[in-house]
Amino acid sequence: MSNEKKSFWSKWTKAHDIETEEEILLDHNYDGIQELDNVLPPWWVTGFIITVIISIFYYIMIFQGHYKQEDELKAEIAEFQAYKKANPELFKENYDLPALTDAESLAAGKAIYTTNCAACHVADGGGLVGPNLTDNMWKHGGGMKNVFTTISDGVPNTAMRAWKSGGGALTAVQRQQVSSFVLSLQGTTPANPKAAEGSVKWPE
Amino acid sequence: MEQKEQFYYDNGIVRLFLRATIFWGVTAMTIGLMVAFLFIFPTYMENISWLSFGRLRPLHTNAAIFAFVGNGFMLGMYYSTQRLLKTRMFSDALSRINFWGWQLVIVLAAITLPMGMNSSKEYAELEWPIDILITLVWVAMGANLIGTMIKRRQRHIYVAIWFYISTFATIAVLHIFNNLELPVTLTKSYSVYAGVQDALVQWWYGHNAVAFFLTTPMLGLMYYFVPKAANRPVYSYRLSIIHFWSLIFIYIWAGPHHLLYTALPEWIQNLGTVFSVMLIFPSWGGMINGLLTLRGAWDKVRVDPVLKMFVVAITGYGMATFEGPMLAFKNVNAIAHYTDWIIAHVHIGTLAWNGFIISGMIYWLVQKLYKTELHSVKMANTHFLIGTVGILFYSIPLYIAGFMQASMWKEFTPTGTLKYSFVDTLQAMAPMYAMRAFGGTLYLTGFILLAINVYKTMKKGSFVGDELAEAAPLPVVSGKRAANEHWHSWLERKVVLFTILSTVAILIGGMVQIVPLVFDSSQVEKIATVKPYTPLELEGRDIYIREGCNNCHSQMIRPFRNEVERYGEFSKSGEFVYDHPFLWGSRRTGPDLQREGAEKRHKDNMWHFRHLLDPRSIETRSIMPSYAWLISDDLDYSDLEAKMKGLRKLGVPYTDAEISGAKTALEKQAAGIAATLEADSGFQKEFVAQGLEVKKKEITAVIAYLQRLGTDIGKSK
Repeated sequence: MSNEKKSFWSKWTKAHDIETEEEILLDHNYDGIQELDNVLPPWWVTGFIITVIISIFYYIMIFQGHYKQEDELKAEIAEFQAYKKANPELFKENYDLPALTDAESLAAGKAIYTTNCAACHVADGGGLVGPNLTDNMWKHGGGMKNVFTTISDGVPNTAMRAWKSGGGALTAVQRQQVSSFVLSLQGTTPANPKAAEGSVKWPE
Repeated sequence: MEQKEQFYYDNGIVRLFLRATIFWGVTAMTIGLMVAFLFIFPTYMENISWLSFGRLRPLHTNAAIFAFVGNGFMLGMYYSTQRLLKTRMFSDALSRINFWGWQLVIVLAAITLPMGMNSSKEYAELEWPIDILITLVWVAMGANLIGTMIKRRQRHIYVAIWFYISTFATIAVLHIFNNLELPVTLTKSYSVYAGVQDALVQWWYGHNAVAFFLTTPMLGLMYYFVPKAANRPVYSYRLSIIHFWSLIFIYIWAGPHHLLYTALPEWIQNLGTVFSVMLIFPSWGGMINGLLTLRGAWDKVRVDPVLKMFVVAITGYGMATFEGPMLAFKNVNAIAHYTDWIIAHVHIGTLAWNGFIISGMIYWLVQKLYKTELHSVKMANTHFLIGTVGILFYSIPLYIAGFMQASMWKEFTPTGTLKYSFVDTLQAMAPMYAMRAFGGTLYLTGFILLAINVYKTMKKGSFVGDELAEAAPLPVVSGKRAANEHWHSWLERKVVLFTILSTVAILIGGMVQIVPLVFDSSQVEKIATVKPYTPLELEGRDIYIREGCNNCHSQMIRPFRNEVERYGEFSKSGEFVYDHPFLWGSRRTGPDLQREGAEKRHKDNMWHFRHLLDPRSIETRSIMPSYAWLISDDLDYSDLEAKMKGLRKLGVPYTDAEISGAKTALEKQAAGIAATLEADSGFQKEFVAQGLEVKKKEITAVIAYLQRLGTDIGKSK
């Protein structure tokens, strides 16, 4: 250790030189354990005082500023509203999208279906928790617009969530693809079809 | 003064604790590993109710804290106290009661927790009869400690003993007040506190159990075994005094930092933050006094596994006690809370600080107790090496996982929707969980090496149960402070006063926070539409507690846009007034459930039925255990009236009519849920045709409870 370095270190700890430590050796003897009377390291004392001062200031300022954690949420929401206003094109919901029939879109729709829908409606559309999607009876109307709406907005008080929002939401294009795939299941024969539910026959 | 007395140190009790520490250490870490593997292979113990995650996790934490570290502390305490006070323990009988009583507590915990008997409060899960047993055993230990101090042959008590005293007194206070509960049956009780109050008392306990069960006792051990093993004087006596008193006084205030951004009143949350910041330097006082004691012994540290372990332990302590206050800042906590960051943080504390100080101590002690050299220094060095690597493999991936999951939770798409579903975030962490399990395996392997090494050392050494020692008796002196006597030096010979003062120091912070919240009704907002649970919901809630659902699912939505978007309206303190105990949770391995029954989160009964039966049938990537036994087991509601009467005593306004008609009401609600399920043709074919009478089953209660969650507040609009 160089002399410079040593002096810097000792300035910060004010540790007594180890060679002459007998000078500060207290007459304590606990089962052979002795204690030195080194002073409190100045960096430690300074740090302690600083944290206490910061804490007092922080606590006072929080009250003075009338800070409420709820305000953080309000600010977040206000920021989002402003963003929404500035980018209206991103938030235009169009429920009149056409059903897609090209193989690529249906494949994409099938992939989305397998990940998100098959748990309740079964991979082949036969239904389990959710209704059978292969028959022509519908609870909330068949056809592209109704299916797209049901998928987008969900059905309140059921396990059918709204897929346009919430965790793992689907984009409009994705919802269009999966709606198209669902419609393509019409008339297929699933392995274990659930009995038809719903009162709307579609197409008539 | 010259006349020396001869007496014998009781090494027998030390040996008992030594064996127990090693045995429970291996056990606790093995259970930890079993749990860690559930994150990678969620079905490997499927359909064994007592090995499901929610029941094993409390077993792991209790075993690590109370069985492993607890026995480790008592091991070092019984060895060092006798030598520091130059006397045998006050009472051999109390020593044995302490030992066997503590082991009985652990065995009872190991039986009851997997059976689902728990009070849900973290690290205080054990039910009331065991709580009482713990209190008795703990008081036996304290009486023994204080008795030994009174008959000591050493004028002053050394800093290690200060920490032992503080450990005893504070844990007694914390344990008793956090476990105030109203027994309903032998194995079931309800916390006397409700909701937000219960949360504050719990985290006053939980935080300070870390402080006074995992920190102060370990500091006491450090102050004895580090200077002993290094053969160096303690660096600074003054620092000992200042950091001891500041540590115990400040620590107790910091509990509310576990409840930042929750429904806890903000003046209490902010006290938790500032006292955590002020805690950095008192904590570090212990670290620097430990590390600087090794000044002049660093050449030894390089070769001696005992000192190596102490250095890593103390460094881990320093890291964890810096990180803790950082986590207490609201903006950092907003990221880390509910994630694996916290799991990494606490394992730096347990694996590095507690685990290594105990391991180092064991290596040193076994040589003293058996009057021989260690069987293999090389093996101990290997333990040190793979243990240290194990800690890194355990913690670094979890730090990354925590940060990653928090970032994914709050990521929005340009169109203002949440980018990831909950299970997406879980899936992303799978590689980190694998690395964590690898790290844990390394650490356990290292500890098994210790067990082998210690066993072999015992074999070749010779144990002396009663070790002859001599010391001069203590001449009687005036209790008054002498003219030139330093006040603290005087206090160090007034042991009862010392105990009282250190207890007063820890009472202040807790009282300032808890008393207003419990007794000032304006602290918790009133929401008129919040009503008590129906009988069936109540039984469902008790099953939720039994299964330890709160170990993975929080019920506390923070006021952040992403949480409000994902889970619904943020939580209000008034929503929990009938929750005995509170179930806010501390980690989200699964999504928050506080509004599981309300608009955004609502699913129909069939979804819950199939999801509880087999979560992977609904979400293939789920790591939730399947709860088939909820469907096969009949709901036992024979204690329903006793439960409702008990809750009424605690302030839940059940009327006489509600209580006398409870069973009928329960059966009616269960039948209603059953009817919605049976209306489904698939359910008929799959379950009813097989003879399932679903209305009698536990699952109806769980579904009823889940459907109720978060719905009260919506009615006010």
